Amino acid sequence: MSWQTARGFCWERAVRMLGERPLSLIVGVAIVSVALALPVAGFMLAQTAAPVVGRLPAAEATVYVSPGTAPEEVRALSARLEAIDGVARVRLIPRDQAWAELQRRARDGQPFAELKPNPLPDSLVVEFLPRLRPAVVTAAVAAMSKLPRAESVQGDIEWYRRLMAVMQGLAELLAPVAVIVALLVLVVTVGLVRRFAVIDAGELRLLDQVGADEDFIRRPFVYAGAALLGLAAAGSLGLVAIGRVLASQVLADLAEVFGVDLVLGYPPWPLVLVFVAGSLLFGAGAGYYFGGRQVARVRGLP
Amino acid sequence: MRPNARAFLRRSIGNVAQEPLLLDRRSVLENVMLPAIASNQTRREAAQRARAALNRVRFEDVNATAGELSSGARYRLALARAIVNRPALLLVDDPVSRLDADAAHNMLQLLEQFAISGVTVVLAAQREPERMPVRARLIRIANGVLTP
Repeated sequence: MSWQTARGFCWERAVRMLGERPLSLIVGVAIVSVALALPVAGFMLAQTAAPVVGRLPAAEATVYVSPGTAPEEVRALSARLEAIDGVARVRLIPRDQAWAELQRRARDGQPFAELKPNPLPDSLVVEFLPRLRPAVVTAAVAAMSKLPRAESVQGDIEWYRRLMAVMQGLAELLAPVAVIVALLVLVVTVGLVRRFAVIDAGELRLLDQVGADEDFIRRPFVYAGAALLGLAAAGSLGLVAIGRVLASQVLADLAEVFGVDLVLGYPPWPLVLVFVAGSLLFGAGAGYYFGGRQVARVRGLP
Repeated sequence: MRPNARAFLRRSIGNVAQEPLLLDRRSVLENVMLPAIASNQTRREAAQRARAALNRVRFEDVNATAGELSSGARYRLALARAIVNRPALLLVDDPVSRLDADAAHNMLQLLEQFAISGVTVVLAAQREPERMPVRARLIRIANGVLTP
């Protein structure tokens, strides 16, 4: 029961500490809620965008087989292509199939009526692994053109190079943005605890004088820090929920335009729990630290 | 000395400063309960000890706010707080200098009772008390020199 009494006293002290400037506290918690909402919202956006990024088209090249190549030689060429670094799979389009497809697509088949026999070669469509570096694709295309029975290689990878450049640019831009957001979150959360987890020097001196031990003196700061960041974490989740409702229509419109699934989902529950628990622990740690500094100042320690 | 060892020592020694530090926005009872709570007593036991200590210093209005008390009452409150953990040693700094003759007499009588009940009382005063307790030992300090 005695530990309950001591903790009850410390909780009461922590609540009084926070209640001394209520308006200022609300503003401070609101600011930290916004700051904490940024990484959560970022995670949600990344989670939403991940399947779309995963479905980005991979680079392709078409290898036209030399005329008169026997089927077994075509298969051997296909196997050699598959062995090249970065190749995901190779698909054969026989010349007859290509010819039929071409005629089907042409209006009335008129332009090809007089072309006999079939002038098209067998072709092998090479699909590369997704998000492969453009330099690897270029090297692979060069290697394909040197293979025996490969008449020519059509590797239109300029669009792929541009797409990868855009993706890399975004990734390079996101890294410093993430660092800045992390620093911002750190500064405002620590600042909030430092500003509100404060006990009058006289009272601290008194606690020291009556023989309260270190833990007892620091505990109200720990509770105040945890309560502050707990409130801010709850506020940030509330903001994220509101933001999700507001953004859902915009995302639905985008999804319709681009024909992709864009559903802004909440982070998984375990992650939300880790986020809340992490906020509480961080607040408690910051409270402990700033409490210790105040006590040291009262005792005249450095 | 390690902080917790120092805290333990402070809990074992009652200390009343000339200008006692109090929690001015808290009640008399809460002020006196503080050292008991800090030394892990239950709330009920802390309250019982605080009431007993306040009784010993003849303090009646336990619900008054500490900030509203006169300097004499503040001193008695600090004295009650100093004895709430039943210390073996009580350090008292100039308890009578601001009191009239009657009040000073009562205060010394109170300290004498503590001494009789087994508490070692070390009392510092600027002027020599008119009446010395029977078993008291007087040590003078003049120009930094102790004279037994």
